Amino acid sequence: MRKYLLLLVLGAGIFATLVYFYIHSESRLAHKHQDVLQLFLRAKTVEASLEKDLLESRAFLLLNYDLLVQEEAEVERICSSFRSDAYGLSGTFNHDIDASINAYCDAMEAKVEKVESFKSRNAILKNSVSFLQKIASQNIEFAGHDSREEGLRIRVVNASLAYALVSTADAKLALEKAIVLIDRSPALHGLNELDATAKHASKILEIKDELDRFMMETLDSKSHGLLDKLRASYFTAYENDQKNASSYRRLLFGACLLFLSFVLYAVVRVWSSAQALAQANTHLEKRVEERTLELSSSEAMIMQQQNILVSLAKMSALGEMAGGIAHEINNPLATIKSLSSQISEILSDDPLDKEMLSKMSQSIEKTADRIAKIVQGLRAFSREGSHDNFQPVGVNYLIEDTVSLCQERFKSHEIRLIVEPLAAEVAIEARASEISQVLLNLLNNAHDAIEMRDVKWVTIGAWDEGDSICIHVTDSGDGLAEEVREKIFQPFFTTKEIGKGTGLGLSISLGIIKGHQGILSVDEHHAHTRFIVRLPKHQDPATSTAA
Amino acid sequence: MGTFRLHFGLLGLISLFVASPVSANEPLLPLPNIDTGLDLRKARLGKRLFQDPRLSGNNTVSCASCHVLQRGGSDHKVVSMGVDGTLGEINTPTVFNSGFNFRQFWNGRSKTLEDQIDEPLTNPKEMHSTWDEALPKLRNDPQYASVFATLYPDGLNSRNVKDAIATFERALTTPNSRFDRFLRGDNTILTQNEQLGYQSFKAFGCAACHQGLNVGGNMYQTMGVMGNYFKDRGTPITAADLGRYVVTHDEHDRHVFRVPSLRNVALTAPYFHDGSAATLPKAVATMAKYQLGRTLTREQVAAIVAFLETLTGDTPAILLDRSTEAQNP
Repeated sequence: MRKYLLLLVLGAGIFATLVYFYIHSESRLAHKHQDVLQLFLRAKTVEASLEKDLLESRAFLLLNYDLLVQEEAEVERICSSFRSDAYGLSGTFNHDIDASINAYCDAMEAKVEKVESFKSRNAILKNSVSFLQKIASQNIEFAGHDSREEGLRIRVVNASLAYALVSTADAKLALEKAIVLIDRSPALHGLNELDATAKHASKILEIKDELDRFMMETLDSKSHGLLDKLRASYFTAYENDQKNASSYRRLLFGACLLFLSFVLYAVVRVWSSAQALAQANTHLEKRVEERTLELSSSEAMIMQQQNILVSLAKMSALGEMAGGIAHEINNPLATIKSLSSQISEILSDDPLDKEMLSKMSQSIEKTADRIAKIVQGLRAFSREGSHDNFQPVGVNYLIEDTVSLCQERFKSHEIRLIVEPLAAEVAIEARASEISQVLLNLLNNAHDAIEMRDVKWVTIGAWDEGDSICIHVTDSGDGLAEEVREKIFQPFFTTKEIGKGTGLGLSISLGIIKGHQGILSVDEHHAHTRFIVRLPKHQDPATSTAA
Repeated sequence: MGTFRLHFGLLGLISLFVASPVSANEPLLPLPNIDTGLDLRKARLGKRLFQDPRLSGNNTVSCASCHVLQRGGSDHKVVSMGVDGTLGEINTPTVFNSGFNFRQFWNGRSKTLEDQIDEPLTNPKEMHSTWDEALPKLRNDPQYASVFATLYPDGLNSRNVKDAIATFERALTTPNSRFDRFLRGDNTILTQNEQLGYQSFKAFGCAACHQGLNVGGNMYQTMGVMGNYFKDRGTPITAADLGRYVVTHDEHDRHVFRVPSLRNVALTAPYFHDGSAATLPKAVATMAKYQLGRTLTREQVAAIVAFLETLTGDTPAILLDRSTEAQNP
């Protein structure tokens, strides 16, 4: 009996030791597995954040590259962990894993190099864009500039800003042509600002494609697939390993039946470590899912970038109108100048022709009033209006204010501008500066369309439709061809000669009118070219804020 | 009038990265004030090695001969002098805050400070030695032998020498500059002119490259983006002028350098990889011309220089640490 007991105790001792080692090795394996999963998670995470931050940099939303640098360093750490086999992956499993590791790490290291190339060019682009933005904001100080220089500069600035921000072939072509225009005007060379503007514009043209190529190559890189492949081959290997281990396990479990207490203990331990493992697995899957989600929010980032781009392009399109205003002010100024020199001449006459003098000074006063009116109109324009509240404003007032900004231009090209206001003033709820912008755009388009024709007139007028107001701008043209009508509101579509229009005016106008719950359309039944702006008199507060 | 609107609209947009309030969303970031978690004993050992001429072939040149610790971590020469008075090929960059740079050397050929050390040690124009030559000399010093034995399980070898020196270099940070205090919210610490300089630094585009924690040192850029710097310089192009091209042999990398950090820049004249700009105003004007395509007025340069001078930080704490001297023979 004592002998049996001794044997039993001895056996128990041996099995206990075996069980201990078994549990120990199981949990060590589980820990290792968990570490490897952690590494996969880090790899997935860093790749997603690298791409996200790259996009943010491209959209100029990141102010410095420190985040990118940290992510590059993390990539290097991860690759060196994989390559140095810190987790004993290749030793335990097959050679397939080594190949997968190398493929993945090579792709990631190439990606980091691409990010480097991206960073340098993105900084250059950012700098040139900010230079051109500054020039754009200086275009305002046109007094005293040569108008041809001014016009060219505005074209180049607009075209390059548009191209810097949207990669369409039209935008690129417009920029190339604008630069050629400067090159072909030797008289303009040596003008410091114009030269610098052209230099920055050419720089944008030079690096933009490269920059976007490096960005797309980084984003499209096959490293995602390689990581998934590496994960898959790891999991296959891991499961094989588990299967091999299971016969050993059965033997032990059988033996352990003799020592129920130990077995129970072992089962509890194994079960809990398996639990931890499963948890780690789900956790990983969840995190990976989250990261994937974040990646798709990178796509939202691209959309957001596009929005910024459109608003920037919109602003650059507005710059185009500046040249026209110079004209509006320069002409009355010239009138005043010639009148005052005539007055000086008359003053030396004897006797003094007082009647003539008084006529001339009245004339000066009238002209000065015109300038004052233009400046008043400008003031309304000088505000960025898209966040203004809707305010009641008179339709006739809007029309007259806008007309005062381009009258001179029409007159100088001998185009008759006919204004047909409402019989009685009607107020509508609108953002006055935005509506003026639309009307001015329509008037300028009409002007450009018929400038070269024999019969030249443009009519702007309005009629009341009860709930809404219609304002029309009609020119002496013969209407629009169907294929033009279809595309006319699309961004970058223009019938004007290259370099003259950005092709954004009407698409921006359409956006503004939509923001007012209104309709901007071409009247295809009219004998001449007629655009109609239909605006509701009252804004629905619920929808107008959303717009 | 479009441009009026453009002007105002842009203000809103530019404010995204230019006119935002201090501390929130700046392209430049302050250096951390807190302890970096480095092993101080290894840093002290590294400090001694850094100043030890036995690392050079003829026992005359130490790391500190060119990276002069009392002079902002560089030596104020166009190019430094190595063993036997041999002249180097490129301006010595400062060792201060070099741990924050994303790559080492002007052309970024080393990824870590540890890797970097091999080159000056073996370069015939610098220390002209080898590890096989230098290590026995260090092992002969009983104090080194015992300190290494305490700090490193495998004692004195090249890896651990490099680790100690790199640890010391990582401790060479210069926090608490007046500009960093400004970034941390002290709005009164900069003069109006210095603040104007910082605004110009951002608005003119300097901050497109000199940015982040180290005000540079986190990207590569071509020398001469908007003009041909090397042609205008007039002197023949040297191997050092080729920049990263030497590393990658990619035509795109010709004249591409790591953007240097501007911290303590007031202390580290002359400037550029060729040491061609003797003064800060000259360097700023040259950068504006060749990198940004702008001609700055004298006042604009002066304001930017005033701002750059606020980037001078505290002397690295490890240099004030007296206990190191106790270890020296």
